[in-house]
Amino acid sequence: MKNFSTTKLVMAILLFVFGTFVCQAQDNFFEKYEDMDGVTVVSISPEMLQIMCSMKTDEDGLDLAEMEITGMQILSTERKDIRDQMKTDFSKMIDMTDYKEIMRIKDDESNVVFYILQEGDIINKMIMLAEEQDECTIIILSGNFTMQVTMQVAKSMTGTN
Amino acid sequence: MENLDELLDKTLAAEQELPEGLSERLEKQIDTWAKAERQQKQLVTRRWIYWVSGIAATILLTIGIFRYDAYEKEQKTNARELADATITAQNALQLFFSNFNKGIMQMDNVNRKVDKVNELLIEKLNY
Repeated sequence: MKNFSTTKLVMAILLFVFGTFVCQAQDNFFEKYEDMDGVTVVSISPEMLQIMCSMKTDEDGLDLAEMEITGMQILSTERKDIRDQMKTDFSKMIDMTDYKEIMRIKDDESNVVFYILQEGDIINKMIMLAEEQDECTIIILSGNFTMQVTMQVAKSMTGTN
Repeated sequence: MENLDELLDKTLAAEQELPEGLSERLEKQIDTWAKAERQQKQLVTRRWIYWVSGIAATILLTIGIFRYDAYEKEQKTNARELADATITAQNALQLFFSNFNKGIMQMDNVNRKVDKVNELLIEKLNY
């Protein structure tokens, strides 16, 4: 019984340390680019997201509120030198943390990769790295949502229900 | 000589007697002057108060106008920034989900093709 409690405590500490490490790595990545010229940075607060999520996307479909998004960060640049540096730093951040690549879409216009950070079935973070001909965009969604709900919201938002 | 003394006494007595009501009139006059002096002083003080109040009100009004103007500009800027952020966020979400959906659709297509191939295989194997 005592051993079980100790294991649980160690696991909790490790999870906490890991969680802090993931957040720190992501914060460092954002901090590096947020004051840089030629980079557009948008951080959407949970309050603002609540307002946005309350807007229905489709009458029959799911609205964004179903996804329980608690934060959104957007990084975007058109400058070639920053784009290359950003991609390198982004890869480093992904390697340092426990993000998993879930989807890669490449066509003539863009090269898009999706990453997730999940606990069980619940996704806590979802990142999209979109490289287009003259622009590189990184969007990070934070919250508590499942893949099923994300797929349904994506379908309802793009009108392919 | 007696007559002279009598005359002198009469004259002195006459001089000592003031006309009736003169004293009151004099007091009244002195009060009036004092009152006028007080009123004059009050008027000067009041005038000063009016001037100071007027200047203070003008300064306050000017500050108020400038501050309101700055506040209005700030409100407009905030509203514009909020609107810009909303549009950016909506566009970002649209980009995010359209790309996500693009991948899912491709996956669905592949699944449909796999299903078709499986159906054909089952058909061929059955016959």
